[in-house]
Amino acid sequence: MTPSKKLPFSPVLRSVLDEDRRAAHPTPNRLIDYRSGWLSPEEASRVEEHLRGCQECAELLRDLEAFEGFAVPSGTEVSADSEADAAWQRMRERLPGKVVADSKAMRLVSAPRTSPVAQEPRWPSGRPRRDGAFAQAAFRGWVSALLAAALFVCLVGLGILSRSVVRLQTKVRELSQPSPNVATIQLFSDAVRGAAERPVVSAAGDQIFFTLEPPDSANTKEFRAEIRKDGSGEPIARVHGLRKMDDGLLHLLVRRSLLLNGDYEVNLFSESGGPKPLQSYPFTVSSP
Amino acid sequence: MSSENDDCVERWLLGDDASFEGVFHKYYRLVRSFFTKRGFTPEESEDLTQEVFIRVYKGRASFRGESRFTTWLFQICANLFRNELRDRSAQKRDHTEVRLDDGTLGSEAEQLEDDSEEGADPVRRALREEAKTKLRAALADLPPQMRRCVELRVDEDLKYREIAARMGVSIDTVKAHLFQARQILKEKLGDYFEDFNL
Repeated sequence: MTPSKKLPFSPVLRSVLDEDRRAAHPTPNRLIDYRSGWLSPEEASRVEEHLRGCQECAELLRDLEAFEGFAVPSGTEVSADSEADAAWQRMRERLPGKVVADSKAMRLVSAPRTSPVAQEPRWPSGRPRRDGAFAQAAFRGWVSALLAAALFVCLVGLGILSRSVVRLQTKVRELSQPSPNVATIQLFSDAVRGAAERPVVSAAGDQIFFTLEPPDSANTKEFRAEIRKDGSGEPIARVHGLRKMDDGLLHLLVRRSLLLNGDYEVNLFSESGGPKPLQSYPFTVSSP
Repeated sequence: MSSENDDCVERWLLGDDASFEGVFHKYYRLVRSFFTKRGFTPEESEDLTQEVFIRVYKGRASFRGESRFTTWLFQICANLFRNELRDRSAQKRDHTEVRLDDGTLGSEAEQLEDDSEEGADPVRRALREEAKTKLRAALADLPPQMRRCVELRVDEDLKYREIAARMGVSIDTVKAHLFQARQILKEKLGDYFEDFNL
């Protein structure tokens, strides 16, 4: 779809939800909302009435209850499920980036396929070596040591790799979404805030969610925000392209680790304007 | 993070990719039986189960853990099931007749567009239908609490505090949900919609 043919989001969403309401059956989403108590009383009674006469939807609701009350099988039962094992092997091939560690492959390396007694050891040439029991025992010992060393190196390497991947994933996750453990602070312009007030955020979480009220005089669509420690020239964090939300406020998410306890200020600039801030918002970060 | 989710899910949600194998094994039979008991063949059920877990895997960043993992899992299963039924019945219809000017569209917003010159254009109409399908799919992949915040904000035009009161969560949770939903929807649907005012 070309940019000129892009549609307005809200009317289309309303249209979709309107269609869903007029459909013969409530959508699975409506059933979840019904069970969670998120529907208006009128909508809830419509769903209830439908459920009384519709076997299919009543069954779906029972399934939702079963999912929510699902008791996770024990570790033994889970690992004994060979059908799920086979399905997992197919699944792994389809996962984006195939980043999931191959724990099954690791187990195969350590488990011999046949009995060591029944299998003749082979040299790299492929021919069996028959120099007597002592040589065979020495050879087995050498192969075992080699395999053990290789396994050790693999395990160490895999451990380092998986730790790095987990660290990287955690960082990406931190940066890309607000954590549930998020502290919030609201910063108002001079017109609302008293001159002596200095908002304090008591930050126990991983991130701080700022709500900024731009000054009434700000005649710009896009803003840039910079956070500085009081009395310091260099900004600690800078965010471009901020736009007002429906409530006229700006939202900003900053990692807690960037801000140690102390006094700071957010300087708000017009994205297209000069170096002089439109407004400064002092605040303090403290431990809870 | 909700304590109602088990350790394996918690670890995976925190970024440990290797834990996804445990998540798969724990919920595989639950998901598969959802489809088999609805009359799908073992092969179809297997394909649909795989699709469910692919969506779960891709949707991890959107799941913030306030709601149960299994509620989200059910949402994905049930929406996939309904879509599958719809696609099958659409395929049957395509074999019998093709109607570009199906007159069953009737919502207010759509009627307004249909009355305009552009609304009468079958190409424009088809693009709008495609955008709606994508929007449905994107909503179906959002975790339930986040999706409902978006719906209440747009459909009922509720304020943050009204959404928070309706859903029994804090205003900050509503704000964070909408903030994140805006990012996700923009990423998935940016080619179709021009704004995401939430």
